[in-house]
Amino acid sequence: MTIDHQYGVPTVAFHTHTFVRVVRSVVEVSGMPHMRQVFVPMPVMGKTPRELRGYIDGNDPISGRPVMQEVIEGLTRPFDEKELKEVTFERSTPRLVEPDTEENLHRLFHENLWTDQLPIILPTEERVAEMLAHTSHKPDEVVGRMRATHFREYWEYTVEKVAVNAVMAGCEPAHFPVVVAAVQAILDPAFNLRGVQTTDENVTPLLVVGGPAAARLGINAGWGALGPGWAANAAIGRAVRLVMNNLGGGWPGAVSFAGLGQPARYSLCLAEREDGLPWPPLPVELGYRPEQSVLIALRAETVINVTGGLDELGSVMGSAASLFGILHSGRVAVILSPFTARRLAAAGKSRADVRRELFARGRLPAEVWRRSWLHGTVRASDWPEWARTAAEREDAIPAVREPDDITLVVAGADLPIPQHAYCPSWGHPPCRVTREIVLPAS
Amino acid sequence: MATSDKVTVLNPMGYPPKVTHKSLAPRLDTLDGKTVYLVDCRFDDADVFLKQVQAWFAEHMPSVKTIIKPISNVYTKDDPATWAEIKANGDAAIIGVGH
Repeated sequence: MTIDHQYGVPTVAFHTHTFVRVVRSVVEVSGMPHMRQVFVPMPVMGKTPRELRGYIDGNDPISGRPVMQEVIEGLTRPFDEKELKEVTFERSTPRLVEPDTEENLHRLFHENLWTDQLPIILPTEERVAEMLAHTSHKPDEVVGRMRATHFREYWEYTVEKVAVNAVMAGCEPAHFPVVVAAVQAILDPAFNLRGVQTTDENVTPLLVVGGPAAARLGINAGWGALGPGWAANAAIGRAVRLVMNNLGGGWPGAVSFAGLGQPARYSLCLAEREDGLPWPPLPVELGYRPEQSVLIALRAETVINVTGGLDELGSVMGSAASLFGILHSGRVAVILSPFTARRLAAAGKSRADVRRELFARGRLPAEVWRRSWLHGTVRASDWPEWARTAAEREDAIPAVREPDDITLVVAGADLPIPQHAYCPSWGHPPCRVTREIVLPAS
Repeated sequence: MATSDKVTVLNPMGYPPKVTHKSLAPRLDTLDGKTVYLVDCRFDDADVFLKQVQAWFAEHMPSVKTIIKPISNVYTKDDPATWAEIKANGDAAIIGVGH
């Protein structure tokens, strides 16, 4: 769009037909509703040159007209009077919804896609006010601006808007500082929220709460920490997802194109255990003081259960599950059972030692990499140099660029059956964003 | 239990910015003899697709000169140097393949 509007070069843009809704929405809100667009079938990726030539010789699946005729007309047909008419308009979001019965309001929220299509708590003024009483931030303070994609406009939102979504998700007011910290964290440019919102991969924020606030707020780090059954974990993660939808426009099929999705997209939030932790808490390892509570946000492509020891963890890390993480030099999470953590600590190993061991064991055989769909799909030069070098020299690629790219979280029940989880990564840049959780003084 | 009492709730949506009209470049009278840049946005296999567009022009409109030009970085970043180059040396652009 920039080249046409700012540089004055007549331009036509090709898109795949699946994205017609988002493409048209983007050009409209960008003030260029008559940008010339031509659509070809989805997918382009992985098709042979002959198949792609078939697209070009065929019809635009949206307009039904020949593709190249659309292209040529897009570059040569003058804009008509209607297209040249200047269209400028305000779009306001009223603070309040028109009063109605609870039943009708639930239906309205559902139909407007303001929910995750599960029942919500209606955000009455009283409930929102109670939520706001648990933060030192003022209601009209702008938390940030979020946009669904790099070519969409930024939407601005306030602390009150975050509180509204936290109420809807079922958060207790005491949880609100965690939600605010999480929303601040995913807005950090390093988190690449735009990518998370729009990719056709299934990545979602992994929210880890470390420090004394976790226990105080009832955020579970023990039995079944990843759910179900724990209101704080479920509601905090859900609040962040609703924020991503309602304040960042990440609706499935319109902006979010995760092909399969994953249950963790409803909520993926847990705490690190404090009791029985054989090492300094994760926030301390990341440079915080012991009395500070911290929200750690990572990008998780999925959650894979691993029962066993470091060998089993290394086996899963050194599998095709890590391909996207390797491609993007991502930072992964390993959730380690307390039983195993204590056993390793008793053997004299620090958290850093364990990371190094996992780094050494989690190796993807170069042959598996070369035979993979992803290897055959993306350009050779798109793979990071460290991965290509490792494949050539060592005939295997580490799951991550360096041991520090593994975030080691100790959580789960204190069972002698060691249950862990591996959360591979997706997306640029390498990411582990932290924000202090500021609890109200009282 | 649902009641007929009306309640007031807050809207959960963020605040979108004002939409401001932006003018697009005047279209060309013809493509004959013109230089058209085929801009590879570096989304997966866009280069393979644009080579086929180039082949189509060579077969059906040989007077059109086409140049395949990959953007300098990933498609999520603006590329003023490439846009300036196309402005200086070309007459039109075809960008592909975005989402």
